[in-house]
Amino acid sequence: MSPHSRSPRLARRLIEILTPRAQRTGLVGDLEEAHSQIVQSAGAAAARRWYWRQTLSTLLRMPAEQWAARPARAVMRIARASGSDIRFAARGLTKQPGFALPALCIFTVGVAANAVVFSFVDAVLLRSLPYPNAEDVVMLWPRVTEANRGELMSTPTYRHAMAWAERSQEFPSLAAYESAVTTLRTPARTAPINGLNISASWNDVLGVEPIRGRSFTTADDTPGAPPVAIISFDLWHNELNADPAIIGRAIDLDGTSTAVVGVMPEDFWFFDPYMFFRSSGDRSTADVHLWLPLHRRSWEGWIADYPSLRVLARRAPGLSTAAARDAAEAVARGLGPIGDTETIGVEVKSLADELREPVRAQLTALFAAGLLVLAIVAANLGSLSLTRADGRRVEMAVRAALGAGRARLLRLALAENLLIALAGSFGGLLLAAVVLDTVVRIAPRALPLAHSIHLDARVAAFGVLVAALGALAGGLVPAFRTVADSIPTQLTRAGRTEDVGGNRTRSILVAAEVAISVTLLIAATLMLRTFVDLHSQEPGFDAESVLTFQSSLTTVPGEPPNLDFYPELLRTIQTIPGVVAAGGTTHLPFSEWGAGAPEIIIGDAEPDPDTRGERMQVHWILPGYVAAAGIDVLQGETLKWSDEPTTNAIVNAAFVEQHLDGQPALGTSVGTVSRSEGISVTRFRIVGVIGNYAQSSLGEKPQPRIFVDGRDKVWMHFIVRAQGEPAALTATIRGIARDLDPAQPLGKFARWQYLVEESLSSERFYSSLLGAFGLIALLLAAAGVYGTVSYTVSARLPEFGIRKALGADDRTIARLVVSSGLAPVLAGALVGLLGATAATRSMGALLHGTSPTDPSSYALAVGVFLGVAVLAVLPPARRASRLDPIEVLRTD
Amino acid sequence: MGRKVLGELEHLLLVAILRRGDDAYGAAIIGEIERRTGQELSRAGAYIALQRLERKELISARDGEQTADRGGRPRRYFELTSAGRAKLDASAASLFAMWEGLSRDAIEADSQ
Repeated sequence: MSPHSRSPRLARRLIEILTPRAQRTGLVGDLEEAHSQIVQSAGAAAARRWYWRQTLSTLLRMPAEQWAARPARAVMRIARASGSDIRFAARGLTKQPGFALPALCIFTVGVAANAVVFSFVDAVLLRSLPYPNAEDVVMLWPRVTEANRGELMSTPTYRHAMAWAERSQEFPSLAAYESAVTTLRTPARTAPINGLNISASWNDVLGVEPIRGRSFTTADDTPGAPPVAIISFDLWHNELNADPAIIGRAIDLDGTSTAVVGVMPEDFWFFDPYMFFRSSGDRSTADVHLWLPLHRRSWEGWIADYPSLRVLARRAPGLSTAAARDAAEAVARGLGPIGDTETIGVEVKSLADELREPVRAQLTALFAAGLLVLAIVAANLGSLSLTRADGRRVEMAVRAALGAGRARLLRLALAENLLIALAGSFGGLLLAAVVLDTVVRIAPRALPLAHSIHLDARVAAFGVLVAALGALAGGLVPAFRTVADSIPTQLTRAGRTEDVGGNRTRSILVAAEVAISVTLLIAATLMLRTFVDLHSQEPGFDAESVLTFQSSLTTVPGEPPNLDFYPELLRTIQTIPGVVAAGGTTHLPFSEWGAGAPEIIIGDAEPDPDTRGERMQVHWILPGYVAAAGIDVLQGETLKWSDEPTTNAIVNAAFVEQHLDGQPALGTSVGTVSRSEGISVTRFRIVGVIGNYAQSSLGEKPQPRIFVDGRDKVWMHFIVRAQGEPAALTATIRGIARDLDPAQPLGKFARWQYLVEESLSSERFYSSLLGAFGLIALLLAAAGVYGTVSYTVSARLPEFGIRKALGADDRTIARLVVSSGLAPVLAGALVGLLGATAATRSMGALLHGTSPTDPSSYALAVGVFLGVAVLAVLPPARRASRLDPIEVLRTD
Repeated sequence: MGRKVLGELEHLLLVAILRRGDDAYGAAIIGEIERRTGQELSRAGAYIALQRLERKELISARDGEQTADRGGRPRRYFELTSAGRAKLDASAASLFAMWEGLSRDAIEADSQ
C-alpha cells in the first residue's frame, strides 16, 4: 500500500479508542481493507471521506452501545474514576456563578478565536490538495541567463515542455498549459470564460478524470484535429442547462463550433496561481471552467521559444525533489540556447507550495496569535481558579485530613476546570461557526482553497484540545498549590482570608497575561498602521466614479479582427449623458492583465545587434484614457483620435527622471525593438509627460512607463468616468456593444474603486484579524488585572481597616491599592515590549511604511494598555478607600 | 433474553454470514449486504450488531490470517452457532409466513 493512500490516522485512532478490545482489530482491519478498495475505485479523497463518515458513526454509536451493554460495570467505573468529582464539580460551579461565568466566557472567546484561525490553517496549509497523491504534483520553472539581464527565473517555453515530456522518465506524466480567456456564445448570452489550454496528459498529472465523457487524447492535441473542449460542472449547469446529451454537443467558442468531449466532476477545483491576476472581480473568477487542447495554436518558430507556459508534472512516487530537479535540469541544459536565453537550472516546486507560499507567513502569524490568546486564557483561568481554591481551602483540608489522596484532590480541582473547558469549547465552536462565514468572506482574494474552509471534525477536535490544554495549564497552578501545603497548615489557615503564597502566584500570572497581550497589541498595531499607511497612499489617479470592463476581440478564423469596434465603442460611450470621459488601456492599474515589457531604445540611435537593451513597461492606450483615469498631465498633451494610428507617445515622470538626464522630454524619440525576425524598431515621439501612478499596489515604487496608441490591439481594458454612480452605466454600455457588433462580449464590469480597495484585501484581512486578537487579549488581560486587584483588596480589608483606624486617609489607601495592582502590570508590559521586538522581527515582510521596531507603535500599544489597566484598578481602589474601619474590624 | 424475532440488520447479517460460508469476515459480510441491498452500511453499526449476536451466542467468532492491506490486523471470521441457525430459521419462517400468498406488487398497489 502506498503511503499516500493510508487511512486518516486520527480517525483510526478514534475508532480504536472507542471500540472494545475484542472487536477492535476486526473492525479496524475491515475498515482498512474497505478503505484501500475505495482508494482503488474512487480515489483517495473519496476514501478519506468515507473513512471519516464511518468514524463519525462509530463515535455516535459505539460508546453508547458499550455502556448500555454493561450498564452496571460502566456506571461503577465512571463513578470510581471521576464521575462523582464531575458531579460534584458541576454542582459546585452552578452554585458559584461568579467563578463559572467569567471562566466560561474567556474559554468561549479563546476557543472561538483559535477555531477560526485553525480552520484557515487547516484548509489552506495542512490538508493535501484535492487530487490523489497531491504531494507528487510539481511545477517546473527554468532558471535562465539572458544576455544583458543576468540570471532570472523564467516561465517554461514549449520547447522545455516537449523535452521534459519526451525525455524525463522521472515524471510519469507531465503537461503544459497556459491560461486563456475564451468567448462562449449561447442563445442566452455571450460570456468570456476563464480557461486553460492544456496538453493531453494534464488530467493524468492531476489524477482527475471527467465524470462524463473523456479527457483529451494525443490525437485531440494535434494541430488540425477537430476542435474539442472539456467543461466544468458549473459551466455545464449554469450556461448549458445541464444538458444530459452534452457529450458530443457542439458549442460556440470564439466563433468556432467545438465539440464537448468531457465534463469535470462537481468538486474538481483548480486554481492557477498566476491566472488570479487576470481576474478583476470576486475570487471565483480565478477558478477554471474550460479546457481546450494546447495545440489549438501550432507551436512553431519563435512562439515555441516564447516563455509563456506552465509545466505541471507528477513525479515518480518516492522520487525526491532533488532527484526530480537533477533530472529536469539534465534535459533542459541539453536544449542549448532558446531565443536569447540559456537554461542553466530548473526549480521544482510542489503545486501545494506554489499555492501556499504567498500566504504561509501571514497564516502562521495568525496561528501564533491564536495560541498567545490561549495562553492568556489559561493564565486568566489560573487566577480565577486560585481565587476559587482559596474559598475551598477548608473543604480541601478536611478532605485531606479524612484521608483523600493527593491524586484525588488534584483530580477534584481539575474536574471543575475541565468541565468549564468542555462547556467553553462547545460555546467557542458555536461562536466560531457563527463568525466563520463572515471571516471567510473578507478573506483576501489571493487566498487559495478559501472555498474549502469550514468547521469540521478536525477543527472541533482542535478546539476541544486547545480548551483542554488551557484548562490543564490554568488549573494546575492552584491545584498543586492546594496539595503542596501540609494539612495542619491548611487547617489552621483555613478560616482566614489572608493569602500568603497566592499573591505572588497571582502577580506572576497577571504579569504574564500583560506581557503576552502587550506583544499581541504591538503586532496588531503594526499591521493596522501598515493598512492605514497603504490606504492613505495617493494612487496617482482618481478611481472614484469610474467603471471598468474588459474585452478581447472575438476573431473568426480566417478573417481579420474587427479593429473598428473599440474606437466606435468609445465614441458612442462618450455620447451617453453623464459620461465625463472614456478611454482604454492594455494595462489597467490594479487589474494586472497585460503583456510583457518589450525592449526599448531612447533617442535616434540604432539598437546594438548583439546586446539587448533595457526592457520597459509599454502600455497601449486608446485616447481619452488619461482624462478618464484622472491622471495629471505634467507637460505637453495626451494622445488624440486621428484617422491613422498615431506615432505619438507619452511617458510618465519616472521615465523622465530615470532616463533623460535632464534633457527636455517633449520631442524625444523612443522606440520598441523586436528581434524575432531580424531587428526592427518602431519609433514614437514623446508629446506629453504624465504623473506617476500606482500600477499594481498602493505604495509601490514608481516604474518608468511609455504609453502609445493601442488601436491595433485585440484586447483592452476600458474605463469610463461618470458623473454619478458608474455601475448604472453597465446595461447601457452592453447595449451599445451589442448594437455595434453582437459577436464581441464585454466582461468583468467593476467599479475601479473596488479594484483599488480589493488590492488591500490582504492587509485589511490580516490587520483586522490581528486587531481582533489584540482587542481580545487586551480585554482578557484587563479582566485579569481587575479580578486580581479586587481579590487582593478583599483579602487585605482587615489590614486597610487597621491602617484607616490608625489615621491613614482615603488617598493613601487608594494609592496603596493602585500601586500594588499596577506593579505586575508594569513588569509585564516591560517583558511584553521585549517579547514584541523578538516576535515582530519576522513580520518585516508583512509591513509597509512601518518598521517592526517602530517606536510610536510600541508607545501607542503600551499606552493604550496602561490606560485600560488603570481603569481596571480604579474600582477596587475606590472600594478600599471608602471602607468603614469599624465595619471591617468588627467582622474579623 | 432478547426479542423473539431478529432485528432487520441482525437478520441481514446472519443471512450474509450463511452466504459467505467459510469466507465470512466483517468486511465481506458487510460488502455482501451492501452489494445486495445497494445501501451503505455503517461499519460501527454492523459491528455493534455482530457483537450483540455474539453475546446472544447466535454466532461465534475466531481470528483469521493477517493481511497487508489491513495494516497487519487479522480478519475476524464469524459463523452461525446452532442456536443462531435455529433463530434464523424461526425468523425467516415467520417472515415467509407473513409474505405467503402476497407478491411485492401488493405494496405498490396499496401506496397509490
